Amino acid sequence: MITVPPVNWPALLPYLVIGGGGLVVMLVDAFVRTLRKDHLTALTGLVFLGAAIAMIAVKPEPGPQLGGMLTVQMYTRFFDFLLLGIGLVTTVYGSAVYSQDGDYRPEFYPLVLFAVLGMMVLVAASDLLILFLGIETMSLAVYALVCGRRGELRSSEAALKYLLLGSFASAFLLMGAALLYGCAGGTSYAALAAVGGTGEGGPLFAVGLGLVLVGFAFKVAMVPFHMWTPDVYDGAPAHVTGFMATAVKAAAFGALIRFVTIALPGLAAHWSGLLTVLTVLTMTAGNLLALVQASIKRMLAYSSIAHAGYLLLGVLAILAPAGGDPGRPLRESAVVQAAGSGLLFYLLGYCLMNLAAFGVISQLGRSGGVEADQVDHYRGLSGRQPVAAAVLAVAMFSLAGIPGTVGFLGKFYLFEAAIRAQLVPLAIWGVVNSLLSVYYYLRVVVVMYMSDDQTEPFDGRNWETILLAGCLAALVVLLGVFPAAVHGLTSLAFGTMLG
Amino acid sequence: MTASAVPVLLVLLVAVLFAALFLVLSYWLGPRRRDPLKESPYECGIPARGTVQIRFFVRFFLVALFFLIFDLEAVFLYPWVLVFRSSLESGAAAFALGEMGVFLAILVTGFVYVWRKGGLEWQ
Repeated sequence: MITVPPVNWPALLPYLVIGGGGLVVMLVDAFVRTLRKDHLTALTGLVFLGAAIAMIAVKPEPGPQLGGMLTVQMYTRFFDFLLLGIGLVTTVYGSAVYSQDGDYRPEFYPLVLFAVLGMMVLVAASDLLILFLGIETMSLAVYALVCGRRGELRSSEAALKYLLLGSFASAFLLMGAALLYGCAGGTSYAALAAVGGTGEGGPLFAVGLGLVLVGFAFKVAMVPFHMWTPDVYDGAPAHVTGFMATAVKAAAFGALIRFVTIALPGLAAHWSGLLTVLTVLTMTAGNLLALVQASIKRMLAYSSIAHAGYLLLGVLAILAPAGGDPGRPLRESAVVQAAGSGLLFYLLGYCLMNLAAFGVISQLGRSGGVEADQVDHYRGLSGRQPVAAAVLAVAMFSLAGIPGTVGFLGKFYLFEAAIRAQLVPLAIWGVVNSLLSVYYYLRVVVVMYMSDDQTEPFDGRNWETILLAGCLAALVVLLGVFPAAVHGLTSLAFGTMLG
Repeated sequence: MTASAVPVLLVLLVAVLFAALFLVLSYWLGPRRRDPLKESPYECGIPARGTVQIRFFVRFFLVALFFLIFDLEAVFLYPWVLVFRSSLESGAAAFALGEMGVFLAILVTGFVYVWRKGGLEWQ
C-alpha cells in the first residue's frame, strides 16, 4: 500500500536545484562539443547561486518534510548556505587549477554538486535511512574527487584507501541503524529519542548507538578512526583537500549535532564517557602528530583532526547537562544554547580559515601539476608573492587561535561553554593543546617570512584564487573583530532546532 | 529470553567442540608425508601456471560497475511493480509512476553520460 506523503515543494527546491543542476552539468559536459573549460565553471557556479537564491526567495514553513524524513529549519539553512559557499569556492579553486594544468577533469563539476547535495541532505536528515543516504551520496562523490590527478599513484592510492575504509565505516553505521531499528521499532530520530528516554533500550540499543558513533567518527576523523585522514588529504589535489577538510567535516558535524540534540535522552548515558575519551585522544593525537610533519597538507590533515577534537568538546557540553538533569527540556538550558551556537560559529570560522589556506596551497605549483605540498616549498614566499603569503599567514594565525581572528573567538566560545558545562579539566586540556598547536602553525609563517628564497621557487598560478582566498582571509579577521552579528545568527539557528 | 537461549548456546557449543575435536584428532593421528606435488596448489588437477596476481584488463572493472547499476535498477523495479496495483486502488498511481520515472531518468542520464564519454567502447 502506497500512501502519498505531502510534498512541500518550496522547502525541497534547493535540493532539487542542486541535484537537477548536477545532472544538467553532466549532460552538457557529455554533449556540447564546443565547450571551453570555463563554461562548466560558470554553469556550476550558476547552479550554486540558483540554489542560494531559491533559499532566499522562497521561504517555506519550517518543519518536517516528506513524512518526517527531512527537516528544513533555520539550522539546516545555515548549513545549506555554508555548504553552497564552500562548493562555490571549491569550484573556482578547481577551475583555476584546471586552467593551468594539462590534466583537465570535467567530471569534477558535477561531482562537487552531488557531494554538496548529499551534505545538505545529511544535515537535514531526521531519519537514520536518510542520514545514511546523505552520507553515501556525499562520500561516493568525494571518493571520486580524491583521485583527481589521474596519472599520479598517490592520488589513486588515497582514493582506494578512502573508499575501502569509508565503506567499512558505512557498514558500521548501517549495522548500528539496523540494531536501533530493532530496539525502537522505527528509524526516525524521534523514535530513538522515545526509546532512549524510557531507558528500555537495553544492551542492543547501546551497541547500536556505538556503531552509529563509529560511522560519524570516521567522517569527522576522530581518533582512533583517523588513520585515513593524512594519506587521503595528502594524495588528493589541494582544492579537493580543502573541500574535504571543510565541507565534509562541517556536514558531518552538522548531522552529528542534530543527532545528539534530538536523540539526546538515550545518548547522554551511552555516549558521554565514550566521547570524553575520544575527545581527549583526538585533540592530543592530532596536535602531537602535526608537530612533526614536513608536508603542509599532512600537517593540515592532523590539524583538522585536532580541530575535530575541539568541536567534540562542544558536543560533549551539549550532552553534559542533560546527563545530569534528564527531565529538563533542552531549550531552557543556557549551557546547551552556548555550546550549540559556539559550535556553529566555530565551524563557520574553521571553514573560512581552512579554505583560505587551501586556496593559497592549490594555486602554488610547478608545471605538470606538481603542487607545493612541503612546508619547505614556502621558503621566502613573502618576497615573491606578498599577498599569497599574507593570506596564508592570516589563515595560520587563525587556525592557531591568535586573538583578532575568528579562530580565537571560536575557541573562546567553545571552551567557555565547556567550562559552564562543568567540563573544566577538558577545557584546560583544550587550551594546552591549542598552545601546542601554535608551534606548527607559526612554523609556516616563519618559513615564509624569515628564511631565504629557494633556488627553484614555485610559481603562483592564478590571481582569481588569491583574490578569493584574500576575501576569505579578510572575513576571518572581520569576524574575529566583530563577531556579534554572526554569533547572534548562529545562536538563533541553533535555537530553531531545539524547538 | 536468557533461559530460552540456553539450548541454542548448547548446540553451538557442541558444534564448536566437535569441530575442534576432529581437527585436533586428525592433526594428532594423521600421518604426514610431504612431497612437492602434494604441496603445490590444486587447480582442477592440472599443474598450476603462473601466480594468482595477474593483471587483467581494466574494462572488466567498468563492465562490473555498469552491471551493478542496471542490476540494482531491476531489483528496485521488481517490488515496485508488485505494489503498483495497490497504488492504483488507493489513487496514488500518478505519484508512484512519477517517482519511478524520476529514478529511471536519473539512471538513464548516467547511462547516456557513460555512453557519450566512450565508457562502452571496448578498445
